[in-house]
Amino acid sequence: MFWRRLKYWKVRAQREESLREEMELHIGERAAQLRDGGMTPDRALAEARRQFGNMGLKQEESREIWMTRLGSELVQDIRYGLRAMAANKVFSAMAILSLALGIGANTAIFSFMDSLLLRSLPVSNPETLAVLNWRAPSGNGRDSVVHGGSGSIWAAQIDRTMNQEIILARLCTAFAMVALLIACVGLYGTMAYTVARRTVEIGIRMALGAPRGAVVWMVLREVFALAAAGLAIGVPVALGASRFIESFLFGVKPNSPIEVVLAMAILLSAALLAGYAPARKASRIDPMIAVRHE
Amino acid sequence: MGRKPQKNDSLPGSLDMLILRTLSRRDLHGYGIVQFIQQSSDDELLVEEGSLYPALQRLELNGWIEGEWGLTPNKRKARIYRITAAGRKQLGLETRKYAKLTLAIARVMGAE
Repeated sequence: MFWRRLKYWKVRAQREESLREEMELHIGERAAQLRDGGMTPDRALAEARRQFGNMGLKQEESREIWMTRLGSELVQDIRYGLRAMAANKVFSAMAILSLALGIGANTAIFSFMDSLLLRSLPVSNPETLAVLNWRAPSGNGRDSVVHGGSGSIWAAQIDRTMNQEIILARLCTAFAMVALLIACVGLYGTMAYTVARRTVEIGIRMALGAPRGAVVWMVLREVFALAAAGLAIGVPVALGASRFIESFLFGVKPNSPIEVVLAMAILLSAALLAGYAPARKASRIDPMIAVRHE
Repeated sequence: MGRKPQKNDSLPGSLDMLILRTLSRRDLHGYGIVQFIQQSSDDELLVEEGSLYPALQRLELNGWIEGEWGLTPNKRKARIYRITAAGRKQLGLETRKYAKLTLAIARVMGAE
């Protein structure tokens, strides 16, 4: 029901127009019938409208059926997420912290990665560089980058400088990956623990008729709540970390907000994946076994 | 018009059941549903035409019916509704509930 409502929300302008047209056609059909019964067209239309009732009011009622409950369901979800987090403070705090760390580190590093690896060279005016085929007197030929074509810098020296940057970038990537992994493992652990602890409760819910999808959603909305809290802490951390990185990398600026958003999206989907496994497991609980499980 | 047919508000919720029952016989548009209910009740039940549409929206939201734009048998454009499998299940549920209710009322009315 939630998805049908969400779908409606997306196309509600069309749906309202469609409903209005449907009602008009209904009135038209009634009027045609009344005309066949001998009424003048004007009177037939007026009578058809009178029989139909207040169209605007009926439209309003139809709209409310789809909309108001969507809002209240959302509020319910948020409250449920908060309650679940409060009931399980230590684990929630751990999950939120690992997520915040993961999100913060990744977003900060990701936003520099592009410029660090692809764009910048450790010189002040990269656009004035020229590629020269340099042939050293000793005889070993080599392609290299030389400033302004002056030929005063040895190829090996440039390589060394670049190497440092690349190693730093690789280290940062590795660190970000590990942080992401830890965040996901932390989240998975928290959710698996929650599901195990609530086996009886989930069993009772299913025995009372909760469908599988509702159980999956119940666990996932807790994941969402944790991820949102992680994001709330992680994003300021990321911004702070960006400043910090900026201060010791010369001439490198963090990239556009799009990349930051992309990094967060990757993090969120990873968190969702980590949370989906325990959610699925929860939905496979056999109520008969779960209720006896004490 | 003569005698005024009764409006269907004596049993709350029975409109949903009547719509589902109507659609379980054949796919129809809103106007067709009103006509069918009126005719098959010998003009005793008259659905308030406007109220039909919020009810249809509610049934659609619950996934019991599905509406799609098409043509009626006499070539009028209309949104034609079709009952779903979940709708048939719901119809069975409401029919049983309704039978129990009317039986209970009949018992009270027949009590000495």
